[in-house]
Amino acid sequence: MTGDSRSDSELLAGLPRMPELMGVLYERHGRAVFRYLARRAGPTAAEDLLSEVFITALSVSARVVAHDSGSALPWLYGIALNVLRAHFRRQSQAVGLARDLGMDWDAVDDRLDALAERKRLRTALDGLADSDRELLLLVAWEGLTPAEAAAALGISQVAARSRLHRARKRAMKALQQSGASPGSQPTALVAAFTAQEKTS
Amino acid sequence: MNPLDQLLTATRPVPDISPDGLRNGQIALDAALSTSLGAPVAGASQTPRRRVSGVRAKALIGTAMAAAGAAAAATVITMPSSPTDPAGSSSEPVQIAPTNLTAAMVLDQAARAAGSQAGWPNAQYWYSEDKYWCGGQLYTDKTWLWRHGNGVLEKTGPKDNSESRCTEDLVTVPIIDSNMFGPYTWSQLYTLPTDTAALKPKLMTDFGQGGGPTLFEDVEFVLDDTPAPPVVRAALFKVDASIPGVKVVGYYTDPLGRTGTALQLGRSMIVVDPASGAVIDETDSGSTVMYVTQGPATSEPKLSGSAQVQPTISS
Repeated sequence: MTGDSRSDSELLAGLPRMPELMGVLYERHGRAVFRYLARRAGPTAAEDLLSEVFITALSVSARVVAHDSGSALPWLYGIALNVLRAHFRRQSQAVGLARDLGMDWDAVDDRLDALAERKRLRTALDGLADSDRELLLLVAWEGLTPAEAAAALGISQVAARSRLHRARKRAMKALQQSGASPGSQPTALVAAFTAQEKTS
Repeated sequence: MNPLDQLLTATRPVPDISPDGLRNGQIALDAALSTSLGAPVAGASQTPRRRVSGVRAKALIGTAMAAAGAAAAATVITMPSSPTDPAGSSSEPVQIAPTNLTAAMVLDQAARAAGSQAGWPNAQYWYSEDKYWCGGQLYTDKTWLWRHGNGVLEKTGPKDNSESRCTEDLVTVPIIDSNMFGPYTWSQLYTLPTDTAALKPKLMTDFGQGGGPTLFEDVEFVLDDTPAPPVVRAALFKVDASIPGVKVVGYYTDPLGRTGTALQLGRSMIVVDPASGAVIDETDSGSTVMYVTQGPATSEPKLSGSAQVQPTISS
């Protein structure tokens, strides 16, 4: 939390005239944007990309308005997604292999202990369109409301709600078809998460 | 918690950024700011990067004080009248409703206006048009949904050269999905109970949600985004009327000049036109959608040659 009492809306409104206000947004939201990046690309890449998000934001801040909830995060996450895609595209060109432009699965796998759980998560999310998966994760991982996630992705609130519903349904179906019974309790996973929550 | 949520929840925690990582990011941003401002930037962590002129400082302080004063003096109504007027204050779109007007009265009137017709059980397409703000500009979504799934989405609005994501999918694209109406198919919408007492628990079961604000949002979804028949719509308004805590915000005129009564529960606000039995606007966490048209259609538009295939979902 910064000592600046201005709201995100006021900061964003002032950005075209006072780009230095981006520094206040960095202090306020840098950690959240880092977590967004780290969940998709791992902590090391996230540290490298964090400043790129805010520097890119500087260059596109002329017409920005805050989401009506007042938070700058939906806007910053939208920019972070573009930065991530460019990062993954560069990586894929460097190694000559096609790769997922929205996710480093190895980084995600590192957060799951059991190999079987990694396979299940990939099964659930792999069948989704990139935009639907991102919508699902903005809500599940970043804690945005569907309306905020809609703003981050540049889609209507109605479309977001409908897409979110079908993404969840499709992911659940994929999980069930992969052999997981609905309502099954991967107790090791839950215990690991509970332990992490207690220490964070 | 279902297996999907367990997996998503377990993969949510990540380590916090290291102090060095945070500082390095700040240094890189400061360097970019320094270039854009044409002057070195102070690295103070609790203040803006550049000295603010007295006039600007006063203006900002005045803005902050006015906002704080307004928040303290009255309940803030957040229905935006335009992108540049997010609080809707200049055109005063919200008028105070009589104190004896209750949400149940408004919703009961809307239920009566919704009618008791059978609807469109055999129509081929459901057409809807809605408008919303993105990046400060007005965009329109026109959607044609085939009764058996799939459809076409046409998004129109101003293009610009910025990197705004609002214009990224400004094309007519096919929608490929067989589950367009939430938990219901077109046919199932026509088998929903029309009795409020039966419909309410059915909605809670089918959406897998509780009552209260989430039920309020689910009702709005069925009202605004599906071809539910008028008789079911009437029952949906009555379900809303039965939810505790829904309050009247006031009479509201939206940016399209339409009037209705704004009702709120939790983070959701809807504007109901009690005379027509329609929800004309909806705000969720401050983001507003204006519902312009919805109704049956006989066909969907043909995709242009340049249309891109939306990368969704194979059945």
